[in-house]
Amino acid sequence: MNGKIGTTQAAMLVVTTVLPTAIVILPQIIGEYVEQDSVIAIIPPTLAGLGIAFVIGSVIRFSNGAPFLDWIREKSSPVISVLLGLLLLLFYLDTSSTILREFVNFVKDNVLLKTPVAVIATLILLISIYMVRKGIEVMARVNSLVILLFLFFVPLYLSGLWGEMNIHRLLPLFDHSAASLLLASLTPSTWMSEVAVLLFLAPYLRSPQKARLIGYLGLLFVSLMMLFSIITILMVLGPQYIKLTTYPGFSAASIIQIGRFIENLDVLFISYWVMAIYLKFAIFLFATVECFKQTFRVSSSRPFIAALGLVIVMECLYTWKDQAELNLYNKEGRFLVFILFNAILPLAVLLVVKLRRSRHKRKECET
Amino acid sequence: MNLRKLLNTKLLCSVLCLPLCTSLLSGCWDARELSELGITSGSAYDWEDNQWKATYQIINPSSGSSSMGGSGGGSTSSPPFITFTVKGKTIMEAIQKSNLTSIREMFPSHSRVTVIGDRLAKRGINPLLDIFLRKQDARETVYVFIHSGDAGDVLDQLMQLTKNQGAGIQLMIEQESKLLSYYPGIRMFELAMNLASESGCAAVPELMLTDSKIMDETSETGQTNLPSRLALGRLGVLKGDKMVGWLSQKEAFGLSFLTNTIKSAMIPFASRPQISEQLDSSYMIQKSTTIVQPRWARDHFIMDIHIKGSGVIHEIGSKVDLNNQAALAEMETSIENNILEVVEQSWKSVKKLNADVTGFAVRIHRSDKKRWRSIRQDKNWDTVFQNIEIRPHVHMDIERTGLSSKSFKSIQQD
Repeated sequence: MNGKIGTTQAAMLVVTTVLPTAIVILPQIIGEYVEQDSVIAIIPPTLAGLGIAFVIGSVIRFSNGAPFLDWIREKSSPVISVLLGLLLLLFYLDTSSTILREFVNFVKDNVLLKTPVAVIATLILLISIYMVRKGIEVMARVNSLVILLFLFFVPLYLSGLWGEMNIHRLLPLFDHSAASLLLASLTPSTWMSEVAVLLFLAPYLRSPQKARLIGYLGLLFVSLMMLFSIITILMVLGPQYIKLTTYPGFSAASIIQIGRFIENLDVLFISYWVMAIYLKFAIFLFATVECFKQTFRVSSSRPFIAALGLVIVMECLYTWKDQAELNLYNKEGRFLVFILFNAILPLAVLLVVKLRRSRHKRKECET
Repeated sequence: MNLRKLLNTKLLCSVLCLPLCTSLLSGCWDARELSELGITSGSAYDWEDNQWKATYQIINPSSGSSSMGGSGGGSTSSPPFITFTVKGKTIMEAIQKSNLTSIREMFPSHSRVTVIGDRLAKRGINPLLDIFLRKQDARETVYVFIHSGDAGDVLDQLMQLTKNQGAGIQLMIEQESKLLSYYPGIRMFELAMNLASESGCAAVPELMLTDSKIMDETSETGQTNLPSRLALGRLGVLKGDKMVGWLSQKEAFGLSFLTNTIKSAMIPFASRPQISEQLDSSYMIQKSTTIVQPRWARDHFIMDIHIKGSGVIHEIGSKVDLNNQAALAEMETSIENNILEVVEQSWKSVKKLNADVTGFAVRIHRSDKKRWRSIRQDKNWDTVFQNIEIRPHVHMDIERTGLSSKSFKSIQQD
């Protein structure tokens, strides 16, 4: 079922890994710190993301697309590999559950007000399990179609809001201190670090040597879309209004009025977003399953997908019950956890491997 | 044997999966039948007896066609909409109480207008703004108006030419801002944006009845000249979240020049000001742009206001040769002076109200962020605003003179 995926397909998967939640949650978080300077606050996280993509791409190049934990086992010891695997599994279970909760919260807030959370979460999970069982190649193909739909939604969004935009709302630039800019850049950096999911997609890449390029392409597209989103939201709603709404992007979309007959278009944009978030959750569920498979050296992960899904849905329903807690985690806690697992850990692995290689070379030279 | 076993297992799986399919029906919890919904076309809020008073206008599906002039199914004697008023300690309590009197659940997603009573506007509208931003089915794009008196009365009034009063009022304000430019209509999200901005002020048009009588019976709209109609009136000024006063239509017009919201406007002017000051001609502005440039001058801000526009002569009441460049230049100066007078009068009134509906605070923040920071730290914007000096510079071009190059009066005398 799991065929190989091309470089462009993989880059598009990186886009879907980061963009759906980032585009909904980040404008408000960044806007709260730096208001109209949000545009600038996107640049440092992009650079940080590119740095992380470099590290992840280098690790994949070293391993030549071998399963990450198997490669660690080969290079160090099974104990280290299992320990690392357990930690990463915990991280991916936790991340998947937060994505699911963000998805559920959004649907509950905007569309299905009376439907119980458990029903929404279970339904999303069932569909995502089905997607994961179909394999990464199918997911990549569907994902390419979803991304192609940008060609319809971006012009619609732009043309619908053209009359509402005021470029002066982006001024004054550099109104906030460097400290505020740095603070605003922290949370987006965590989202950019999600490019690390490539570690678990590596065995399915047709050209693992191009992993860095995949990361760069994916993140640059994400940054462009984030810039587009923040600039349009700021030009339509202004820096103060962004702080008031939880989902400023959809608030802007709800203003679109074409003639006297096309109104309330936010529902259309929400349905598109739902498609993208399904894929995001499925990619993380896939990475969780891969992590489980590599940690416990299971030949087929299919019987465990549902069990892992159950753990995720339980965590989603009970650990992240309180929306304020999730918001606080997104704003403050997420950075540490994500940077640790998505940047520091792969960087440490890369450094150790490089050190060993140079030592090995030196020894060879000596002998 | 194996095949039978496999078939049995498949059958068992299918039977077990059937109940799972019901989980796909999660939308059922939120299912709403159209016949159970009361589609709201307008709402009004007031403050009475220390509690919220909300009036809702629900479209009556059993009424005739959507246009008064057209024919259609349904009863023509039945009113096109019904209104009901509810009271509560909070807005939501009032809304929920509507279910005590209505057989249909309110559905505000298609609401067009919201009218705020002046009592409530003077008390503060923050809770109302909050509910419009928070509630999932509330519509932020409704046009907001202030009514001097009981806001609910406005929603009872029937309109000629259209049955959907909410849509009719929306059309009225959109036409007004497009053709007259006395003031632009303000939608709920724009009101929130303005009140949350650096200036913290907003201007909301008045919706009024031309007479004290409310035309709320379908038979009453059968007359050609209704004794009482809905009309747009003055411009209410809000500071913080409270109303602090009114601007007349002329003052509001001047404000439109100051805030660059002129789309098209008619300026009456004296065509030969050296002979007579009488306003005998009309100039239609077709394009107008205002650029405001703040400048710090020792102890106060000077706002250089450059108003540039062009338009067409629509009416000439004196003997003037429109091919004469000097005569045209004289008329341009006359038009510019009229605009200057309107702008200055408006500024005086705005200053009197001490409410920055001009958005000068926003402009100062954009052009001089350091000084704005100190103003914000010292919390003395009101004092700074009072000391602002405006220097309007108007330049209007007469681009065309219409289909006639001479006035009718000049031909008669020839």
